[in-house]
Amino acid sequence: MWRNILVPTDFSGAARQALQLAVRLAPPGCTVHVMHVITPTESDPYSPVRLRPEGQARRRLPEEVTDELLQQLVQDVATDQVVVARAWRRSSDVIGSILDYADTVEAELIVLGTHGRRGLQRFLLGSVAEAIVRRASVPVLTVREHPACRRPSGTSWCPRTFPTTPAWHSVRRPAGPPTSGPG
Amino acid sequence: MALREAARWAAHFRARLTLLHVLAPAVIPVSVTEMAAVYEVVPGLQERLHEELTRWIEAEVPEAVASDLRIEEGPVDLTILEQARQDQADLIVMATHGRSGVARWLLGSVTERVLRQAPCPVLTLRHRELPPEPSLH
Repeated sequence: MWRNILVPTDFSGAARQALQLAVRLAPPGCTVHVMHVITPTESDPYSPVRLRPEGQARRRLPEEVTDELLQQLVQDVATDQVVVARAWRRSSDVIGSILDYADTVEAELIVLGTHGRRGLQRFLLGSVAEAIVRRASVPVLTVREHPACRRPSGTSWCPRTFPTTPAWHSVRRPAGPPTSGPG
Repeated sequence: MALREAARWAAHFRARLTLLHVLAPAVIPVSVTEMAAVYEVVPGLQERLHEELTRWIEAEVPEAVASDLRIEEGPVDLTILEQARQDQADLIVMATHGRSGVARWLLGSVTERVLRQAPCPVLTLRHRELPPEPSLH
């Protein structure tokens, strides 16, 4: 059904869930592209720089930290059947870079995690997902973050978010134990 | 367009498809002191709607996909969410109009509200061009 799926990530739990879902949906031979946009500011609470111990992060370039986090993410979700490619872009225009990258890899689907913020927080932070939904020329699958997964670290598959019925369970999965799962 | 994509997904995952149309509580004055919902005043509106949606399903959804049709009344976003919860839907598919600016604030927010509160993932598709104005309401 798809050959290329794009998953933009900010290394949050929501983005991780989106990636896990993308890998699960991807038919054999499909490439899942996971990409991060490094913004010039560190005010973003999900900036990779903030996810690494202070001292360590200071001495390293955001690119390095990003690369390492992406590698880790890919390792966590990789299966035998689906290729997960990683990439990052450095830009102040997060939405533009994501849409641009979607064009570049000819993504037929974008899978997005959203934090489900409300009120002022939503106004300030939650708009990347909404802007992509509005502007993307390909279908966008939005996964709302499960409350139990709000912590970016050590988050694994959240059983209740998805999937719940046989239809989704029939999604092709690799033989052997899943990399992460409810049970 | 959204229905066609939904049908593709349903076929791929052998899922059941429900086409939901929500009648927003649009009211019009029927006399000086009375207001009535549009669908109570216009005769046969519900039936016409039903026919049209049925034709739409026939045109876009392959026969192999189990599908049904539902027309509900109420606030659009809340009704969608409510139905998704009731049905334990695994996926909501909906179109967005891709509006921005003021129009977005006023009109494009149904999808956004559904996105933020949906009990399941939401697949959105952007309309390439502005859809024709709905003629029924």
